Amino acid sequence: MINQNDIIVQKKNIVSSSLDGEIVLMSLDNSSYYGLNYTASKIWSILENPKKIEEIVKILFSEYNVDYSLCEKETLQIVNDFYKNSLIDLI
Amino acid sequence: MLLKKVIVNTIKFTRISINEKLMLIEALFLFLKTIFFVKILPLKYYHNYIGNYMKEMSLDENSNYNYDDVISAIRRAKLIIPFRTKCLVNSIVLKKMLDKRSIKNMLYLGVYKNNYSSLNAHAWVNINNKSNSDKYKIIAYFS
Repeated sequence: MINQNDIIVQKKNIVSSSLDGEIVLMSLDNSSYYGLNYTASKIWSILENPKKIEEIVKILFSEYNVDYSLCEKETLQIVNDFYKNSLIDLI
Repeated sequence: MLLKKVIVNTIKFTRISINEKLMLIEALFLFLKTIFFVKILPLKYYHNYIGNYMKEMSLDENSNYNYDDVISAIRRAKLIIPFRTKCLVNSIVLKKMLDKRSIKNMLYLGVYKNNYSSLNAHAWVNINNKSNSDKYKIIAYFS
């Protein structure tokens, strides 16, 4: 389980490509494709470099007109989904 | 039904040339090996077996090669195998047979979104620069 203070980054064994503005990932570790929605795609591109959850939320909050706590909650949900599917590494 | 299939295939096998027989046996062995890899192992354990991962090669010099015999061997092998093989398995077998004959080729993994916005994955091999990547978005490739 990932929380606000963790630093995370994209895993190395993942290749990605953009399809209709959304990112598709392929993981060599579990031989699967993942289609990300718009929000998850945005978070995925932020994770190219290691980032604290708090930093991700701040970036999203500054770009979109959203409620901070809702943004934080949904970001945590998405990064935990990434983590469950072995798409990101905890640093 | 199965017995009939075995008899028909055996008769067909005796009628093809020795070269075609050897290629069919080669294709069958490659299918067995590849099905084992694809069904059992994650891609990270066999991506080096497929080829050079994420490395492109030029396919310009391929016009003079005849690869019909390779295609025939794979078609025959697929008739013998009792279940439908996945596009990834077919593509890997084709790539290995083309590699052995020094025919340059690239194996692609791609996806497209169907009418219900869900992802459909596909694998294919290119031996010339014509591609079906208009429909599919290429995610990974092997040379």
